[in-house]
Amino acid sequence: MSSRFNLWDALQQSFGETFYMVFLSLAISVVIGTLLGYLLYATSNKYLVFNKPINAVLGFVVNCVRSLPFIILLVVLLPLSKIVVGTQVGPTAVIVPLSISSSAFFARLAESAFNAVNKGVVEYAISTGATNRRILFSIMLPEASSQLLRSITVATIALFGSSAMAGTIGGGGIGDLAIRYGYQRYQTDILLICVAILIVIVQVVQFIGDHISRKVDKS
Amino acid sequence: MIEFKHVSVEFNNGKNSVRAVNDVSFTIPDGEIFGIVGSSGAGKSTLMRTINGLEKPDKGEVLVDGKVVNQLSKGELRIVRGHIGMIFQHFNLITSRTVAENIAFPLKVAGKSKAEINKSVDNVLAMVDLEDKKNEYPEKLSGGQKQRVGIARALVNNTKVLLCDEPTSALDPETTNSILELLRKLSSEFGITVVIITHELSVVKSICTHAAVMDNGDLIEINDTYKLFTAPQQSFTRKLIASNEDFTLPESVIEEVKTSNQKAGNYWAILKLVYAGDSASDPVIANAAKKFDVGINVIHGKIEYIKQIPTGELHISIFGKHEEVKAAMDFIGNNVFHLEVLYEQQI
Repeated sequence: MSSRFNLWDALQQSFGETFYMVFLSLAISVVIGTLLGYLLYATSNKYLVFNKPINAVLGFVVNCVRSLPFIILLVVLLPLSKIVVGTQVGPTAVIVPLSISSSAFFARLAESAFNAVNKGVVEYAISTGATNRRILFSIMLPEASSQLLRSITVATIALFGSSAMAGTIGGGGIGDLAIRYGYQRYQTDILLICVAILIVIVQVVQFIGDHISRKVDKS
Repeated sequence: MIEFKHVSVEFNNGKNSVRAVNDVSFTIPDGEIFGIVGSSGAGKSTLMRTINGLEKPDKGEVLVDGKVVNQLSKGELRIVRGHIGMIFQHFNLITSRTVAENIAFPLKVAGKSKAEINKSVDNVLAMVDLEDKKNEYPEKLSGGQKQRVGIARALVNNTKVLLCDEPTSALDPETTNSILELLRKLSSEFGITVVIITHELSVVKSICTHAAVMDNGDLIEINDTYKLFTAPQQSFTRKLIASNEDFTLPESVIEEVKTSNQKAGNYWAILKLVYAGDSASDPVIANAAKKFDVGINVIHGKIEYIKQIPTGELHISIFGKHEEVKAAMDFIGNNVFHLEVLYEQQI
């Protein structure tokens, strides 16, 4: 059947698009989210850069982004995509809202990972005369690394979910494929294949994430 | 030298403010092992943290080697902190770093070269007897070993002052002794000023040269450790010492002394005598019994070591005619290090 050949092609393309969206957004949001999370943490810690107003403003902005369901955020932020990446359609356009949504999510995950670091160790670091920068890179990141890696796993899986929604506005990817063929054309076999592949991907991501975070954990 | 000048620290928890430290002034000379004792919430931990600027006084000044710590800029404070080591009850080691990396951290902060760091780390590891644990992670160490790493990293950067926050409270008695021994050795070898806050009086007795007693933010009493324990001046100190001792005179003994002497028509008292150093104990009592017409009965006795000097403590009952007993008490009081009248017949 010629449709089988087409299906294989379509699957390959969709997965390429999904991985492109997920991992580029992940990379961006881990960097931004970690920094935001550290700022949230450090502005509420009396030994670091204790600053209630900045903490409140940051927290408010993060909460605003997190209050919107992704599909709405997607629509709201598409004009921004046009400005940043020059297009409103396709995987690249979707990376803008995906990164913003995921950064806010990861900021909260990172904040709680930093909060879980023994406060005594932070107090010790301050007592040596270390700068804030050194405390972030030499103490907080290594001490929180195991928890941060678990957070990256969670964020990755969440991104697979939101990237599928992006398909509905022409973002492409596996979600787009499943909806166009499986839902709108009643091709249940394609829907089931997509479901099976997504389940395998999430299991693999979770397995790898758990494995690495256990390896890193020295406590 | 560390000087506290009218230091007050207040904590604001929204509505009401709590005075953690209340107008405290005293001086800790160089090379001392100085103890600050008191129950939890006494403000001792807050007071100690003003030395390296972890807490800021609301009033007063804290001077370290003549520099007012609470008026330094951030950069100056970081430099001062570099030479003030700190160890903690729960060690606070960096769990994601090996022993050697933990010890190297303050040196990296101080901007030392790799070669210098390696040399200093090996040196200090030998000092605390942990060469074989160099590349272990803290998780693999026992409590005593963790505290040794804590001490090593606190001392590695040419430290002048070592702040100890309940350094042995999480350790068993044997390990406590080895850690205290190590602190004493390091202090005498390198002339480091050690400040120890603790609720364990045994720690103070064992290594502190001077000690301060705090309660509720106030400085109650400060003295040479030996005098503080053998002749406490304040009632709070006496209570603190008594509550830490495993000995209190049983009521029944006091009752018996009372009734038997009332029957015999004697005046009576129960005294606590403290002998300092190695002054012989017996002659004073024997002499008193010979010189005065009194009977003396030993109820309890013990010897302990404060700052490694022996001190004897004797509880006696003394009875006889009123004026004889009073004269004998004066005599005894003049011939022992410290006399405390625990109970005396009321007339």
